[in-house]
Amino acid sequence: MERKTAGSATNRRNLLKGIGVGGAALTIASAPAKAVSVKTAGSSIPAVPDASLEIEPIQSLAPQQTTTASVGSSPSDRPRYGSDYMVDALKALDILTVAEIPGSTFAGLQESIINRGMLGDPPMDMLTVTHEEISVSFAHGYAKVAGKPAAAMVHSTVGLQHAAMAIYNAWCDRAPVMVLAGSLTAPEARESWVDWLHAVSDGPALTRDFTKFDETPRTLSHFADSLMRGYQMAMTRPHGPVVLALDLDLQEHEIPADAKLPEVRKPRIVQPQGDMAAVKEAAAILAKAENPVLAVDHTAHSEAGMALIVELAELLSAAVIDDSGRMNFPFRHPLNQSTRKGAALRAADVVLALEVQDMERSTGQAGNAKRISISSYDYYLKSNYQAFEAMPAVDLAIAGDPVTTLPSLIEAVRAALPRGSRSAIEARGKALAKAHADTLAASRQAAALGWDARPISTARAWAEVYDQVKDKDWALVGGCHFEGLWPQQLWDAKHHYQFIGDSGGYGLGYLPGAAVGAAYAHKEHGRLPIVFGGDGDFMMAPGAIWTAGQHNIPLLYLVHNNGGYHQEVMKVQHQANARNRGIRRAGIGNLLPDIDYSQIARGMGVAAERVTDPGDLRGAIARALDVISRGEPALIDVVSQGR
Amino acid sequence: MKALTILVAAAGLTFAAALPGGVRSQEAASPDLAKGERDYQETGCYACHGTVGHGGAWQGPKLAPDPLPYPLFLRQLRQPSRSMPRYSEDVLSDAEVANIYAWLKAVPRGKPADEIGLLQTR
Repeated sequence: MERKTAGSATNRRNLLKGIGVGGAALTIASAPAKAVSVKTAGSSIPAVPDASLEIEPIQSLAPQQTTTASVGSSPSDRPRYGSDYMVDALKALDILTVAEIPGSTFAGLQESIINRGMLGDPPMDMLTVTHEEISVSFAHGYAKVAGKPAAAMVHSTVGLQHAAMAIYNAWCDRAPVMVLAGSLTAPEARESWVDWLHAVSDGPALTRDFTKFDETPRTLSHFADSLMRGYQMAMTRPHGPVVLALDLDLQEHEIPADAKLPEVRKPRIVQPQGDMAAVKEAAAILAKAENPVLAVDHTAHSEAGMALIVELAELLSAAVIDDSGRMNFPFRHPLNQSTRKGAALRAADVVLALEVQDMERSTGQAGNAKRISISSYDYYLKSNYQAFEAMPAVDLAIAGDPVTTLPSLIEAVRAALPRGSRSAIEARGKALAKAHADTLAASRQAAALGWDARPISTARAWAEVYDQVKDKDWALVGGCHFEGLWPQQLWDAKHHYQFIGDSGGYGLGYLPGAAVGAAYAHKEHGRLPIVFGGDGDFMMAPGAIWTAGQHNIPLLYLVHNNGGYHQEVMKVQHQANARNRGIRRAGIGNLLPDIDYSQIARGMGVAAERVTDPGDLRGAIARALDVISRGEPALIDVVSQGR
Repeated sequence: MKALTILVAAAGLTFAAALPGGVRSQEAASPDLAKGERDYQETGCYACHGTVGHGGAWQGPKLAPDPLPYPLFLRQLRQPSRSMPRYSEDVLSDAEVANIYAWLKAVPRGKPADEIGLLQTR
């Protein structure tokens, strides 16, 4: 694995130790050609680079991870400024991770995070990113693994505008993200013409159609209320993003010594359960069904949630079809019928849809089957953007969080099962297990097709990875839809954290930031995060891989380099042929030729290789895993088939 | 097997009879395989069916080295079912289709899954 930067991983870690020595100027010995000096302000304050670093970015290898020890400043003292209080409030809600690209409208908060939040116990961590879209997608991916929000700190106006698409993805994917936008509310605070350009009367109006809550607090008490309200809204299902616009004056406000500010309490949030009478009605229908099907999508939010879905499926020997919004059901469970979804649905007489985003896509093939829905989506939607999908035909719609409702439903089904039904249920289970085994065999045959082809087949790429990671604690941190959904067919995923679904809104630019954010959340558990994602997605936000490198976030990132926006190629082909004009020019405007993603990664200090021959994958993956074992990311540019 | 062959052949004749007037529904006697491969790639067949006609899950079906009987293959191009783009004679001539078909039949057969160790991974 070639790494363009002069410093090795080991040297970088030594540098981290060296910075802890404190006080004096320090020279990076691992950068022999152009030694760079960095100054440290205290024993554990992150390094402050010389101005020369601005023209020598390749050498700026000072790790940006936070440190844990206090320097005797004031993190435990009373908050002196408004932004100190904001930091304390964020910490009270266990929001310790912040992704940001700097913006002058949140400079006060940034300073408080650096010199108060990051030095306290527990320490906050602040990750530098290169685009506000990455800030939000980082927090999006993080939330799906950590189960709690990170903050995305964005500049007023232009920053929030950059962030908007990623916020929409989080909205569609029902992910809790806390967006903290700077603001210059008072005209008197605007010191230049640029300040006026970056001022807005109601900044969060931009994203109001696809957030659960927003506010522009006028006082610190108002901030506390808004933060707690936003947190509670974000974390109550359906989860979703919230935006708080934080006025710079409020951040800079000096808090009088005798000021009394409200305590910020982190509530234990209990999710809504479906109505018990309706649950019993659903149980009675399910208990009498001949071929019940469970449809799952954005359903499980934890290992325990997944276990409940398994329990219900096994109680009924119900077929389970998973639309992969989250990790809901073990990939290799005999009742998992996702790969033969159409057949399972056509045989169904009852379908129970649990937190399914698009009922038509999920259950449309079920014909006249009775449909029951348990979904928190019924509680909350907005009318402008059509993310609520087509109106489904449902016989019994129960508003509630499915996982919270499942214990009651399972108990009710158990009570409602007719005497003598056990043998029929067992026979159903055996038939489904055989169908699963047959599907697995068929998937293996399908994966063999084009095994030695160049460009490399997605099935081959996935199989080569799996062979080397199957005995590790791996976790997929991206969707696999455009990469053949091979893991869902051939990998043995048993744990909830092993898959987090996709973007939600199909907005390109999600994957790099979300993969890095999810990988960051996996890091403390020592897991191996893996993503195989599109080249178009990568080119929207390549800077995310720099963040992974700078912050030492282990991640195996395979770029699905099929040379373009492949789906759009096919769509233009349809148009051109329908108009009888031929499709030889359908690639125009849709292709991304001549990009070497390994060079891009190496240019940002991340170990990377490019692979064009399937026979070279094994070695490249082994070398990447070696890099990752040292706590760093690695990228493989896989020149691949379209899908 | 013989009965199946007859059935497929009969189906082919039926479809051939239903094709637009004058469509040649026979394989080329002396196909140009190189041109067939070039046209396969340039006219975008690879996009859904893979560069060697291997197809796969969630994309176009496998084509090589055992494509549908030629009349069915041609009908699927001219009057496609499901989501495949329509290829009229104006954009892909019968002769070009015949070359593509011949090339697909000539693609070397890949290894079966049970001979690939990585696909036996549990």
